[in-house]
Amino acid sequence: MSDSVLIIGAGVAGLTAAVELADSGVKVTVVERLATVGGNALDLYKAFPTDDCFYCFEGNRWRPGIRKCFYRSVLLDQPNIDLKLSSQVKEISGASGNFDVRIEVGSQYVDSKKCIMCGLCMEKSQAFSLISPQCQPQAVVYDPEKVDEGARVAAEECPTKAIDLDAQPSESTVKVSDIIVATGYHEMQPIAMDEYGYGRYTNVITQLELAKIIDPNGSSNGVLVRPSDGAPASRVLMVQCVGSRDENYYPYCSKICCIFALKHANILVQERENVSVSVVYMDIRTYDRHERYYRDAREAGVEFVRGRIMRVEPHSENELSVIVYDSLLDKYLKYTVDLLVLSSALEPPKGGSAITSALNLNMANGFIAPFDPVSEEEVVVGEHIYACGTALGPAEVPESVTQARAVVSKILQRRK
Amino acid sequence: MPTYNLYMGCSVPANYPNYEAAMIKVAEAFGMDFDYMEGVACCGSPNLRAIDHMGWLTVNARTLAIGDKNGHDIVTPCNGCFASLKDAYHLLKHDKEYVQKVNKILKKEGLEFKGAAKPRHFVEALYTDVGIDEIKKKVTKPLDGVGIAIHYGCHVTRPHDVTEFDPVILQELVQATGATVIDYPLWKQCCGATVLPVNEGIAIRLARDKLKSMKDAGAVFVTVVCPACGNQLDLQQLGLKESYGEEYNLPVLFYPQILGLTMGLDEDAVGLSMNRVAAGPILNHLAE
Amino acid sequence: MTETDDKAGQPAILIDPIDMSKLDSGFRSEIKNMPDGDEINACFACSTCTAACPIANVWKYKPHQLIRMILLGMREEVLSSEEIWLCLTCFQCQERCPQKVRVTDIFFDCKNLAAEEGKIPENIKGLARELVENGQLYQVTADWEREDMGLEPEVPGLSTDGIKAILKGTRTGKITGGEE
Repeated sequence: MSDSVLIIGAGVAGLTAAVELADSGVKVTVVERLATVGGNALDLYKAFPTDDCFYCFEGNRWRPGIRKCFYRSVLLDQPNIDLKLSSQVKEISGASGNFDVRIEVGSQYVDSKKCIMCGLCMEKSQAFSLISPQCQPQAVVYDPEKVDEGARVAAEECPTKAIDLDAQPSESTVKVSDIIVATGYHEMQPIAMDEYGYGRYTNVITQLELAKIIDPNGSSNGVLVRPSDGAPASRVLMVQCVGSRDENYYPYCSKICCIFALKHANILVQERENVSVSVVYMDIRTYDRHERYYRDAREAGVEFVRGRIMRVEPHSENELSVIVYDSLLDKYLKYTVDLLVLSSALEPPKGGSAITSALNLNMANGFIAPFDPVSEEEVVVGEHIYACGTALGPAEVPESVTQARAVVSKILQRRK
Repeated sequence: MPTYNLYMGCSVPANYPNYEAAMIKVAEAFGMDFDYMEGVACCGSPNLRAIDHMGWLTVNARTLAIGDKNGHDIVTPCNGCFASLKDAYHLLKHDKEYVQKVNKILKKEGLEFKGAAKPRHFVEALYTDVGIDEIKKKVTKPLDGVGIAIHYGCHVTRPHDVTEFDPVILQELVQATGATVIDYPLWKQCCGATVLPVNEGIAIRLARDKLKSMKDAGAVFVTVVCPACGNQLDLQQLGLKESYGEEYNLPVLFYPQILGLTMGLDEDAVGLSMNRVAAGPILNHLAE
Repeated sequence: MTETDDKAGQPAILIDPIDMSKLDSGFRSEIKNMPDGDEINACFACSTCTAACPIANVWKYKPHQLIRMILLGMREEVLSSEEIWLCLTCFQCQERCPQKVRVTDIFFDCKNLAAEEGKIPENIKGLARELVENGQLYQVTADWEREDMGLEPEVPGLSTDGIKAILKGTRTGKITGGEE
């Protein structure tokens, strides 16, 4: 019998569970599809409700290290964590409490412990890139599909010899007693919704895409720019409920988009020069303490329009003309903007269904549902199987953390 | 290639024999076997649906029932007919009570709605049953990449759960002729035909906005698959000179006319001279 | 206080409110029970239908307001409204409605209710007459054009007896029959 735990997904929820279990002496194997941990939160430089990196929340302040340094020390140095990046769970068999897990481990082209991110390889070859300055492990990644002549040179000249172009994928089998599904969410790409012009006009973006643009560590150093020409953007229009609360797409409220949008609106209006923001909404749902964001936004001069978008069309090469129906005024408003930001629905992650169907989990709206629908144990999704974070449905960062801790608590209690 | 029941409705045969003839010639070239339906007439149009739902439903159930006699799919070149038939078909397929009601009336004529013959728009049948690859094989005089704006027409595309018509069909069909499809912001907008009997001013304005949007986006020609849309976008251009002082010179062709020309039919065979805005310039864009 | 005001027959305040008790509370279910009314109660008043409508700017009552009026029971106002007849039936409102309210189809239902009460624009009535008398909205007048195209001068298979017989027995017959 093994008493280690498999965690699928290394986003906010998966990492929280991994670190806290590991700190409690439990061995964990974390399987992450991508080459970096952090999930969607990697692209947020400020998370509500503290406008800070999520790991600096009150409950974590006692930990040594600060934002961005924390993971490096814990993920790489905590001996109880076995982190498998670019990897996927292939098969889960065996009985509950005694699972056999087959993992396909992607080729480890770059040794993250050796990489010092000097950037030499990126100068030599297109195949190397830094996914995000916040990425963890702090290392470049290699994409074999972009291999060019410079790749070999980069490997040879790497000062720490961190690159192995001949690395091969491998397979690994682990035995675990418990499984935590933390596969997260995907932000809907509303290409099918013709009225918003997403996918047709480059200056129509989603909130997560905006988050990347305004991240001070991003390519524009946090300056609000429009994707079409990289020029500073000053007029922003946001639209709420894109694909959420919509029976044609996702019937549920995605829950975090209002606050997400308000947070961005506040950052843009308060921390950037000469940016004006208007938000087109049908209902603003800032439940609980988040109402503060709404009030702050109004005080900061963010404009709120109750209505819907009629049409988007190009105004000039780099500007959009947006016609909005204002249902309070019963008038049509025409905006000329640099950016149209869509608060797009949170949808179940792509490719997650293989795991959920293999484990025979209950589902609701494409997300994982509790094992016992009448119990209040929403994180218990099967016998020795748990889920946390947005794998369970739209959730904000603190909620994901709370759910992860609930899972940790369940597992530890059961072992007492 | 299957045999089809051909339902012409009233507008195409009366107003657009060029559309009718071009469609039949193109279909023949691909081996689509068209038989004019016996004993049918008008679909009643959305106007009949508006004032007399049961009458409209029965009239169209009758046409569907005539199709059921041999069970072949019913094809039509008119969006209005397609919408009426498809809408009635959809309702009857989902509501047995209505089937009983209409069959009680149809029994007097010895007819029965069974739902075997499916109503389809001609271009969808061409796209699905013949296919783009086969169409391309017969395009011997392709267009030179000239920009064509597509007007699908509302009643063929919406509501999608009823029409089941995907608005990529004409894109691909137009591209198969060698033309470039022009994207324009008002591509979904109504041509105004339906409101013509109630408010001519609005109808003309809608046609005008649509044409302007096409022209501004760089369209040289327009293609339609409905006589009412054709009428609005083609004929109304002549009036726009007076009402708006604007001239668009956008020739409006029915899709089978364009396809026919690129398949080697001559201008008389597709009745180009009957188009109101001179459509002759399209000949200059055909490969020799 | 309100009692005395009521007795005077004047509203207590300057605003003259719609007296909810005078509206037709059954109108909502009347529509709901028609062929396309199923989802009407799902409306959450987002006004997407109005944003989608290409001509709502010339409507006194916008699409979302008409739906609202149905839900509140303003039967008379809806069925007498010009807007239901101005509807292009382009289905953009219905296609975009996030709650799957069949907005365009519901306006068709409203027009049927209005027609039953004889509230039909004159031109539409003319089309109905055309259908009952000729069985067609358009008739071939220029048969030489058909012959030029190599088509038979008369449309093959055309027979208008069936449609005329049907429509005489339905509301169209009633609308067009006898009077005037």
